[in-house]
Amino acid sequence: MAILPGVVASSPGYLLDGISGAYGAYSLRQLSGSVSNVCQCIRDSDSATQDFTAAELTDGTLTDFGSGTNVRIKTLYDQSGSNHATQSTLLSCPSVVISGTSQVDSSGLPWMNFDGSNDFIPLSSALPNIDKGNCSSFAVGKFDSTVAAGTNKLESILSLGTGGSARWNISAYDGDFVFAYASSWNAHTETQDTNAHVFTQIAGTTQGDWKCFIDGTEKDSATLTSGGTSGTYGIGGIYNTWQYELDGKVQEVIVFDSDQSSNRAAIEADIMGYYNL
Amino acid sequence: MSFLIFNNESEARQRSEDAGKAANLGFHSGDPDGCRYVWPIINESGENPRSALDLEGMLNLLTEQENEQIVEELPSDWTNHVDP
Repeated sequence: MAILPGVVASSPGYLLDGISGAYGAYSLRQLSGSVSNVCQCIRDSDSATQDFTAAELTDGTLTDFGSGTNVRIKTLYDQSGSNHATQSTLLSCPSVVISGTSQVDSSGLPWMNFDGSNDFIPLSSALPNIDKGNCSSFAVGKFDSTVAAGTNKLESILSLGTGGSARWNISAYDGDFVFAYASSWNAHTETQDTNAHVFTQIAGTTQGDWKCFIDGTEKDSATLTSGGTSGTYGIGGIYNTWQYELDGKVQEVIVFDSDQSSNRAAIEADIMGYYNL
Repeated sequence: MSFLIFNNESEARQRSEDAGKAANLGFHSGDPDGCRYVWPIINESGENPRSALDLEGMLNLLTEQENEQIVEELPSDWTNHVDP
């Protein structure tokens, strides 16, 4: 487990033991020494639910619970507080076990499989009123395929605001990664791939502008714009269960309602070390 | 893909919730944080928007009449919201 540079944590090596002030922190790994369960899962076969620790997602407990069927993530517990993110529609919950098979990356780490149809975990109720001029987000995910040009299809890993001047999205469109910020739906674009990455966006007065990063490398900047969030937004889509749905995977989303530019490199180093990015 | 078309979101949401009750989802068993609905809802944009249930699974919860009303595509005049 990676330890943040320069940080003396009260518990060994957990990211949020060294970094405080997250607005919402959702992950299938343990981010804090003070939490145990990271998610609640629901089984398709009989709608039974069960809380899981990060260890239980990979030690056989989860697949035993699934009994050869499908298991979905119903709730991602906020490991920084109580802003838990939950999906109230059964068939919109992303999967972690499909027909008895755990959904894991090449390192065996679990991830949420968004089906590209209607899977979505809303954050608009859990994390309301995020000021676009004072926000930081870190999202670990991947697209399963290149979103082909000319299809007019957009897929979103994370959205914290919709439309108008409230945009804050990480998406793929027309063969490109697309970062949206404020009034620009394509504040930064670059050629998309299907590898897992940590996608970072930071805006605030400490930094002085908005910037986006992929795997710790700065990609673009824009003039700072203040304002709250609007609409329905979250993990794996924008607006609702039917708009810009992700066909891909997500492992972690951490949101701060503050400028974390001074901690960015340490946070990204921890994430990239853990996920082998 | 399979859909059931409704005149508005309220009707679609109610049908999804009724299915949730029939499936005894957590919300309907006393857990306020439990799942409440079975099928995702697709909302049309514009005036007098229609709604559709995305019937990804659990088709056993449909009535015989509803099974006959399933369509494989959204209506050709369906208006999607487009503003990322």
